[in-house]
Amino acid sequence: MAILAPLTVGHALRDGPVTQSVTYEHRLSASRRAARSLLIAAALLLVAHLGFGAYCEADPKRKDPTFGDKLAKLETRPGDKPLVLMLGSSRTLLGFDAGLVESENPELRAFNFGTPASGPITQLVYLKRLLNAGIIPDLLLLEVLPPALADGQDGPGEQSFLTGERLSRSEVELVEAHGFRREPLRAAWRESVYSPASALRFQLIGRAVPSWIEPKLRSDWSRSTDARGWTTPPRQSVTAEERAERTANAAAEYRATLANMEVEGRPLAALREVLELCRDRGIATRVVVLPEAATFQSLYPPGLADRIAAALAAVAQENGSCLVDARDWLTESDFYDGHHLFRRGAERFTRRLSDTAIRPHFAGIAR
Amino acid sequence: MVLATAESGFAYFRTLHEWLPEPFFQTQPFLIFFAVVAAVYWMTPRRWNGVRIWWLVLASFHFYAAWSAELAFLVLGTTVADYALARLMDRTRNPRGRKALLLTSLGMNLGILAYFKYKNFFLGSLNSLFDAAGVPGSFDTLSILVPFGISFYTFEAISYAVDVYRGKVKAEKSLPHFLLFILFFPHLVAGPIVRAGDFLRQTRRIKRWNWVRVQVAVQFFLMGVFKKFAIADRMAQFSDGPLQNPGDYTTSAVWLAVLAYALRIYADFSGYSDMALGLAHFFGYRLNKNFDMPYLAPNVSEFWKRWHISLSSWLRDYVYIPLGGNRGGGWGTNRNLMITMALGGLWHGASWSYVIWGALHGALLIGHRQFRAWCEPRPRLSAALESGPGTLLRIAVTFGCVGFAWIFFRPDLAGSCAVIDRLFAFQTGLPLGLNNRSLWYTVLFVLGCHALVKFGVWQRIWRNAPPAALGMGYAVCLTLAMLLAPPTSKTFIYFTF
Repeated sequence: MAILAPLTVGHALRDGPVTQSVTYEHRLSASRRAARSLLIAAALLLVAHLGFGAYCEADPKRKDPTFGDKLAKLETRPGDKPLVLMLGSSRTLLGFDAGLVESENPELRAFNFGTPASGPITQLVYLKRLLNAGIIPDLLLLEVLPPALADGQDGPGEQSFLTGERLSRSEVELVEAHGFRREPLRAAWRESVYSPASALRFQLIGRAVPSWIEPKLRSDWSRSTDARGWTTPPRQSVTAEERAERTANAAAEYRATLANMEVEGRPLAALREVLELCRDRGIATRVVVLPEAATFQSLYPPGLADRIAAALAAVAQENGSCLVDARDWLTESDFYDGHHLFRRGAERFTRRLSDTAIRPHFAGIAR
Repeated sequence: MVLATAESGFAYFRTLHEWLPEPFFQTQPFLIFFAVVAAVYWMTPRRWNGVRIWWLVLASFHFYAAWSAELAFLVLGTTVADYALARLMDRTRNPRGRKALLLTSLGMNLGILAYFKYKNFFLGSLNSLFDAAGVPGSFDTLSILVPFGISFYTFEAISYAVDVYRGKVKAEKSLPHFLLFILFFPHLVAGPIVRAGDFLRQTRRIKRWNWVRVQVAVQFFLMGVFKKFAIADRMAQFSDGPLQNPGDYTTSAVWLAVLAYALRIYADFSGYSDMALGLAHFFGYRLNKNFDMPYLAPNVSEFWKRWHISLSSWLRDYVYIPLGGNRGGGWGTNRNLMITMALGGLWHGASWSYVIWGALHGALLIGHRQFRAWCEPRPRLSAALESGPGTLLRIAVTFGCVGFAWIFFRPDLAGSCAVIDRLFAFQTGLPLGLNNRSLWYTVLFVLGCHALVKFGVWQRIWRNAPPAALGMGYAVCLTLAMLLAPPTSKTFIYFTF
């Protein structure tokens, strides 16, 4: 039968050196060649991977492009004007138009250091990195994403995003002290040092060919911001149905966290540490809660928002700072999902923040 | 006392399961397991071949028992039974007695296969049949775990029993050698389907450490890892969404998903087979090659000489030829082809869609046979088809047919029909989740690799490249596989068969 005829496929070894009739010398040289090629492969893998792991470990920009790309943008805008820097989550990323602050306050430099899913512990890590890089803001605006203050039995929610491979060893110890689970954190860090091609692959591919990986795995978002770190959605309006769907998605993401949330936890301790660090370094700070639409505010159980505000105000006051509670500043149409802002929302928020917190601070200094 | 021993035994296997939860080659726990097994194996003096064999048997049993101890004991039990039945068959001179022993062996193996793999399929089909006739079907399906690789090792056991019965091979006298033939972990869960005649003689050969063989092993393993991580798992990202929910995607996205699925199946299974071959080589065993660039086949009959070779040759020797092969004239041959391929389809999975997939291939084989006969008296047409462009056209048509048939290569028949519906509906919807360019680059890369092998470039490199270049190539291959791996690795498709 031709169709399922006897198979005469040559095996790789059949015409290779193993079964070939060859002289002893030939076999010896083939054996040496094989051994050498394997040893060279092992040595190359060891040197390349450990070397690259060490190279990345030496600078957080390489392990954490979300941070690194923003820092690179910030470093391209040196100057002797006072620097207003805002650290925060995706709310800040979309909400704080630093360019607008500069255009309305030409005597200032402003930069948006908002990165998705960052809460107080990420801010503590980022602030330390910024200080190490010689970036010392004159006014640091610290956004607090209220759900990020939640501290579950398994640790703060931020640990799902600020994973071990993004951190250096000292940072691993820092976030561990703030309740991150030790084992997954250390395992991810170890992998980033000993096997960076695997652990940091999304960072690497995200830099080379970002479209090859799923959006949720990409870390090149800081690249697509403007020169001052701000970005805005490509579409500036949504239909009522789209808004309802997106708000429902946001509610699904945060409802459970807000329902069971205790305010006094390790993330709040991290915020306290950030404020203490700033106080010690002479950096003025403001703690900011960004605007939320009424639909999003309805996710908070009764009294929770007040407890959060009171706790934040107290922590801020302890460290010579104050709370800017902007939750009610804007209306539903300024948001596309109840808590992320469109351009017009960002402009309104930024102007009011500038009037409320930025300008008075620098006016006070001038006086 | 007995209870306490049993309890500690179960606790042992539970711990083992936590450590090595699934019998997959591409995981870190497996590599540690492999390193330990290999180290002990090669440190055992070669004059103690029996100890080495027992060690591999023990390791293979643990490899399977780590996933499911109960099923490992089942496989062990049936293997011992197959060994004993074959030994009896060898000693029995009475043809009836031999036949009875053969039937006992076949009945046991096919019975276990039918119970674990096909019982729910048959009961479900009966229920549907009764429902269609207006009588509510009342056969309850069972919730049972299908043993990994059951289709592979039962076929190995069946071929052994038949070969002993036919006198093609002598019944193996050594129990550990026979246990290793069936349980050897590189081929246990997804083949290649090993023949006793090929494997058992290797167990008697003293294995010496051989760097060339180790190099071949590493090369096969790396090739498998690359195919799995960098191609198969990446292609799954393109194919999974549109094939699961075709209604949500554009027609073009579904076409591309079908292309990605074809690549995925090939890279997934041939990648697994490469890893298995590599692992076996490391212990000094040679398993038969399972793939030979099947997508370059210029016709479907050639495709089946290059795709899952160990299965297609098994079906030829133990189904097609016993059915009569091509001895029964045109109609008989076509009937035998169709039965063989439909059974081959059913072997893959207990679902009508696999039967349809097999039947489609049967139809394609029959079609090719008829077409070849039609071309024979037309020399100019034959010459045109044999020319370079003609061959390219035949490869493209064959790939198109095989790729289209892959749509049924999944357990969900309704889903397969929905995909076909969408392919010709020309509607709008979601695009693919990832940029199409990365899919096309992968297609080009695979084509390029095939061309390298086809034109002998790879073979020349393998023979003549300096060790540094080869070493660099291995390092780059592994690094690229790690870089291109998606966040979660998919289970090997053929593990479910």
